[in-house]
Amino acid sequence: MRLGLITDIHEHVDELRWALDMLRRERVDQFVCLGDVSEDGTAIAETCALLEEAGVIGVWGNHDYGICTGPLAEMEACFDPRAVAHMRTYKARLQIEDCVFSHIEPCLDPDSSMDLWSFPEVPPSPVRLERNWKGFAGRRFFMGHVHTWFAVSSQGPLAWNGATPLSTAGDSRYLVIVDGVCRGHCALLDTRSGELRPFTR
Amino acid sequence: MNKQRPKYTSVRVGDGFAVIRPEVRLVGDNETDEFTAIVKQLDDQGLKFIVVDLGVIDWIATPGISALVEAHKRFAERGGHVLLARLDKRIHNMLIVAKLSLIFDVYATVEAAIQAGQRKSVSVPEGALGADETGAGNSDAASEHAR
Repeated sequence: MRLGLITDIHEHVDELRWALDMLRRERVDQFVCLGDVSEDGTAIAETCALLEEAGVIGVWGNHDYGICTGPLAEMEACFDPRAVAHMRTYKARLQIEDCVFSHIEPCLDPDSSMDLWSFPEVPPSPVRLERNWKGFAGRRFFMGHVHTWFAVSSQGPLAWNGATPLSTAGDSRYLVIVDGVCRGHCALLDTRSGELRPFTR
Repeated sequence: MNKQRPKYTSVRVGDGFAVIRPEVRLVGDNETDEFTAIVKQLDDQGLKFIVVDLGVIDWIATPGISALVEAHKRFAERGGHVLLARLDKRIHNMLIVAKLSLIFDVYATVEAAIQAGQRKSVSVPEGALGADETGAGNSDAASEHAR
């Protein structure tokens, strides 16, 4: 399956349009958003209209937690109801095949504001990594949140900075941070071959 | 207080509380580090509550919000409070969309925040850090938002 990964949009409509167009040209089967669609609601209607049109599924980020799980009436009073409806389809975590998607580290709870608003050290300490490997059941974990590219495998650190494709094939487990759409980035993940191909605007 | 005079933040200390006013947007640079250091000092002094007066800025970036959340966490751990005052509409909307409006009490004026803070008791509540999960925010306070 070819997945188009987008994260940390923060209502940057132009960059989102670029990312969706780029990944459409790569003939993705499904778009997956790794959270932080929202910023302050100014462009949330336009942002979510693009996501809805593309059939995006996703997980919520720290900036989306209210619109995704807060009191519905309050959200619809503050923001475009169609945008709210789209965001309410987002989950804490998603799993597709052996790939798990969340906005934050596997060892943290995406249903806790405190966890959502904590920022990891990159690279994580060995103790933190150990907690992260225990924090998910799949083989590959993809997150956003940090606005950078980073990858580590269960065999050790990887010298990868998003400038080249990353192979997540084989038996190793992987934790990958995807850089944000707001910074002009997105990625294509081929779940069968295991290749993650980053794109930069 | 800090021996060095703050560059980006005004601080007024009262009886058991302080009012902190960022003078520039909190975007994750030196101004946010300074804000965090001041919060830590005030927390170490055991103040009952602080009021963060956001009246002169119209925007906070993610690291700035994270600094506010960290301040809440610090004070809540020992039963203290962080109250927000004079929020620009964009900042208030960021709190709503992120569900942080259920964590922070928001007031239209600094005076209203101080009065509310003085009515609050200092005791370590059960699940002090999980107010959002229980929905135990102060919706009355939030409705006082005016800007």
